[in-house]
Amino acid sequence: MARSIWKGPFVDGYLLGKADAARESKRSEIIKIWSRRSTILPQFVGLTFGVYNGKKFIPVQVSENMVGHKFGEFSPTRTFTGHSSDKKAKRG
Amino acid sequence: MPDPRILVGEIGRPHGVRGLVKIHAFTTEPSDIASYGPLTDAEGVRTFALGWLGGGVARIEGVADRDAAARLTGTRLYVARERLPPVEEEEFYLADLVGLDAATVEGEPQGRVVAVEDFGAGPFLTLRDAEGRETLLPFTRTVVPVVDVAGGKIQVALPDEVIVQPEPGENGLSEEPATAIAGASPLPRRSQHRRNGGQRDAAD
Repeated sequence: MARSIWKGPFVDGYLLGKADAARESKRSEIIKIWSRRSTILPQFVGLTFGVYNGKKFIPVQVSENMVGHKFGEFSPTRTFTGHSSDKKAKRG
Repeated sequence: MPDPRILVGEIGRPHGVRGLVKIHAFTTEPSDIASYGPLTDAEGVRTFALGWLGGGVARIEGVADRDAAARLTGTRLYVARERLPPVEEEEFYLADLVGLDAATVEGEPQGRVVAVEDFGAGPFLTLRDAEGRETLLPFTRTVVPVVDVAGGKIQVALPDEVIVQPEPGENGLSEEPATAIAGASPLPRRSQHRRNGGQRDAAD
């Protein structure tokens, strides 16, 4: 069942302060967080978080399309192995 | 230096009696495996010209019956790196990035690229140093300013790390006070029922 709209999105409050500080510092930094349950808010766009998956901090570069999703969605906890083959990566 | 040959698939079990085979394609689009021209086996001795039929089934030139197809099951298929189409600006084949040596701008070695992954939030590199420690870095122009595939190295600018420790409330403990309803128990009905040893409350 979806979360009630009247409650608003859930986010751990202390992330907001850290995100504000990171945006103002304008340095290249990774904010390492354990809060996989927090919703990605518009003020996080452009920042890079390291989201803990139980073993390591997966870098999550927040973009506009990710707003409304949870941090944990981008940091899988199961190991996936595949072949690189002809797959490409675009440098952001 | 990256491997000049790239693994793109594997021949699976025979399909039917006319020499068709199932193909496990590792390419982004499965049908692309047939578009790179003849493929070779691991030793580079045999060549296979595939005709893609859809649904993971392909015809291999020169293979006309099921027995011949069955003998090829498990054969890994490779393509020469130069057969892959050129990439756009700021784009790199993962096969080119894996194996590159990483060093900081000051020249301090940071290990070797062992994997490039993308879980929907931008690609990132996994570096592993001589002691086996892994470092995960976002693949951005800020963090990886120089990628020299021909030279076999990348230059990284390690980002600062801000550690945000979990606070009370993150480990499942609610920070919000329990809802106060006059006369209501904080426990759900089932828990209350068990606490009473299976006896119903007088109020019930």
